[in-house]
Amino acid sequence: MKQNTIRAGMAAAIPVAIGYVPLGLACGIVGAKAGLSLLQVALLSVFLYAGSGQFMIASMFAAGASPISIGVSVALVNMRHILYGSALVQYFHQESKWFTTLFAAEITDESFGVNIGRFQKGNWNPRSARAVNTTSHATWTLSNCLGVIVGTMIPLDTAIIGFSMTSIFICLLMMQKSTQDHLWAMGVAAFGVVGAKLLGLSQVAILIGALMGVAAGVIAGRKGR
Amino acid sequence: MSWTSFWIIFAITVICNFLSRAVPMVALSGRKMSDGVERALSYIPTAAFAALVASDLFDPANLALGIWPLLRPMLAALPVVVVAKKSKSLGLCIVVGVGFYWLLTLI
Repeated sequence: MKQNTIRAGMAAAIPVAIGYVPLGLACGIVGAKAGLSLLQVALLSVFLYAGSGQFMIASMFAAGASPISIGVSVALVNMRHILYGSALVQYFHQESKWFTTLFAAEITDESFGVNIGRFQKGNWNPRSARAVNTTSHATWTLSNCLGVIVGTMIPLDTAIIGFSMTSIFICLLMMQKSTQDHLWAMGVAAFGVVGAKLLGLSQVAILIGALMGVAAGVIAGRKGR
Repeated sequence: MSWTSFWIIFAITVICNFLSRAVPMVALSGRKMSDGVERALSYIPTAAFAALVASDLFDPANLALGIWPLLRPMLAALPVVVVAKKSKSLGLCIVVGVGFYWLLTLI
């Protein structure tokens, strides 16, 4: 029984893992080019485990930013994860705080997407969800380390590879409800992101957009009742 | 990177990141939430995915490079939308999306 739930999680993580291999390789390569050692890249991949964050660390460091400004910028960018745990918690009421904490520590945009989709369908469970997280995390870490080791032997275009993640999010977005309140949430979220970026708030643009989108959904949902 | 700089970055990012991910989930777990709160939380996936897509498709930095680099991700997104609606397959969407994006870089 337990074997099957873990295996189901690993299988569900395949699309994420497929995206993480080239992206992780690129991240490792970029990190090495910016001056991070294999150990440093490995530590970040294991304990930080944030693609956008790790790319940011590399590019900001290469540009000469101070460690504190790098740290604060990355912390801001990752605040959107607050929303993911909140959205998933309803499926974890039966779990111990310890289990929930370990699960939460490995939340990422993509694994959140896969897990929330499965939970919404109704045939998922926390153990499989945890397996999704861990499988994705392991793939990410290994790819990063490999990236540092192989260096620039493989030509990788980060923009093209990055679009694999965009494709995942588009797919997940299309799977959400298209009732009026949800459409409002989508529209306002997108508007919020674009607006924030144009105002120069690109680091927190996603968080701002998502919060505005949730607010819009709540308001639109109330009107309908 | 010097280890001093590294540990500063590591400490700030790892702690903040862990708190962002874990605190809401642990603090809210086991708590009975009002219908209003549950309904608000139900909009998170929709809003988050829309925000993530918008963020990936719209990069003001590309404006400086010209209209084509700006439009490229948006155009590559169109076939993905169609494929996503029809197949709901993450894998297929990745293949179609990356494929189209790559084709557009050749033009």
